[in-house]
Amino acid sequence: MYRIDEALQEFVESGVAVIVGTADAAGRPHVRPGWGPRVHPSRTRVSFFLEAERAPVPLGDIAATGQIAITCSDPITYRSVQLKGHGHAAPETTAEDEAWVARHRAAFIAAVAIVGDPPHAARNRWIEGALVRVDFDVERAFNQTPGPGAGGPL
Amino acid sequence: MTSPFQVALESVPTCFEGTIPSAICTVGADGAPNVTHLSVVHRVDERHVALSRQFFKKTEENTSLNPLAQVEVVEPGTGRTFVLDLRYDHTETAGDLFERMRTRLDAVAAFEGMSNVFQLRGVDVCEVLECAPLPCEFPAAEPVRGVSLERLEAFSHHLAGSEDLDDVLRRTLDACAELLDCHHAYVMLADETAQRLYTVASAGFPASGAGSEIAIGSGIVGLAAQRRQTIRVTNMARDLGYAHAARGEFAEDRGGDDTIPLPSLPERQSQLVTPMLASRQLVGVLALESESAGAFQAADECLAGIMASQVAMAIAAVGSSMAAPASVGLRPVQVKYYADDESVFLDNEYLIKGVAGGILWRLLRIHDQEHRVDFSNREMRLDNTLGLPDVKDNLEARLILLRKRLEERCDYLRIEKTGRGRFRLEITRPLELVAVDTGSPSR
Repeated sequence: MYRIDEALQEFVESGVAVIVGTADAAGRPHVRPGWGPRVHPSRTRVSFFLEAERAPVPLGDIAATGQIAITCSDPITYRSVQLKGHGHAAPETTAEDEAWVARHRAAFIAAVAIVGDPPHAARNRWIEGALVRVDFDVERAFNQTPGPGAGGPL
Repeated sequence: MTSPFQVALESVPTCFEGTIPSAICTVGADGAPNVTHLSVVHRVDERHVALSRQFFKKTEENTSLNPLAQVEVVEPGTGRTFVLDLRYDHTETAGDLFERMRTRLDAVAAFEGMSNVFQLRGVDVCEVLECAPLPCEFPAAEPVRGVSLERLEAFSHHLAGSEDLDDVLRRTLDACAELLDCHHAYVMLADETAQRLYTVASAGFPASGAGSEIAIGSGIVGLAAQRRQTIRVTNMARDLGYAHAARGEFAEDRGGDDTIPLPSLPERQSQLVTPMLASRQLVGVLALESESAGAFQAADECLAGIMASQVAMAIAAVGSSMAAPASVGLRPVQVKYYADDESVFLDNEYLIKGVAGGILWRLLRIHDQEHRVDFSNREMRLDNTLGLPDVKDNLEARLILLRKRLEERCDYLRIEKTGRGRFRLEITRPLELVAVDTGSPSR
């Protein structure tokens, strides 16, 4: 199990762009935007959220294989970290979850505005509506920042 | 032709311009997904895309075992998101596609004066199996910018009627506004040595940059000239972040000779630089800037390319053709000339250097000795002390930029065109000419 320290937690929970990778049992990969990554007090478990309307395929993958990868990237500096592990979808989301996602989206939209994304286009990156929380245990973490060190383990 | 996909790749061209980073997911031998951002997904044709092979070792390792990948691309103007199912086909390490993507990456590096940071090891060409939209709340498509062929034809017609270089340059900058809706543009010409570019005309910048120079191969502008390839930057802020991340440290260097800075918008986000070629010779570059991300699209690149070719031929056709009442009772202005680099300073303020500096110094010396104010291009060409080459001397261009620099830097010294191939030196203050002995003969 990989233990997330405070500095990495702060990064993961900032206005990063989140991409979620999954694969079905036949090895077909799928990528979706993710929202609201959050580090559990245990520091070895992370939650994130998928939009229900966009999530049937990755949720099917997670149910089938349990394998999950997420990459969090700072839109301004390109600092990027990939977390990999196994997990599952939570049965329900709470009002607190929704507030957490709203906070992340506000930070994300502020970050991409700095690099020139029009506000209406940034807003269209997500669907306001039902969310599905996914919890996973982080087994490995990688530096994903572009450069010679990309892909190296943290 | 009907696309086999839910969304035809050609219907969402701005997704493939690198304005917003794309994401790719591949699968390892153990079935574990690997997901990372990509700088550019390049659309090759209606059924293929190309991915740059730079830093992503795991992605490469995965595709060598399992050729399937899924890529997420975002339309920058709307935020609409699409997913592409891909199957790896082959890797190219040379050829047009490779060179095009290499230049795109090198342009990013050129922001910070870097080279070989984004060493492109290969370009992975992938077959697209499907392109599907992700559901979204605002599905309206981005308006596709049209190209007015009638306006282009009119520009071409007017250019053909240009009498001299001044006219060609004015029409070119006007056309950037009319045809491309770009109000921030400049033209640089290649010097006689084909080693440097110098700015001869600009519009819409806080400072004209007339006379600014850059080495061919240096910076984005120099790179476009060197590679004879158009460079289109769609999101300067992101590219800077990317370059910074890859190098790990930041250094400001646009690659220019900043004695006079290149024309530049302080908040530029997009840049389009097109080489101007005539008979396979580099004439110069046409450079456009915008403060909006994604301002220049693929259609603009095509249009600018056509314009640049027309302008290059017009400049080649007109060749490189272009004086002063006595001053009264004012403090003399010291004109200092350094022969080693032909630089001229007015009261210790830098004015210009190189061939244009040499021309100015020669004109002032003649005026000083003969009290003459009217000159002709022909006599300049025949003046051996100027060392102009026999062919393609760019004299007219030098005179234009000299005129612009004088207009910018002082109000007592002017070069005014008096007819075709003739000009007048207008001096309204006394001048004190000082040649600084650096070992080279003064003119």
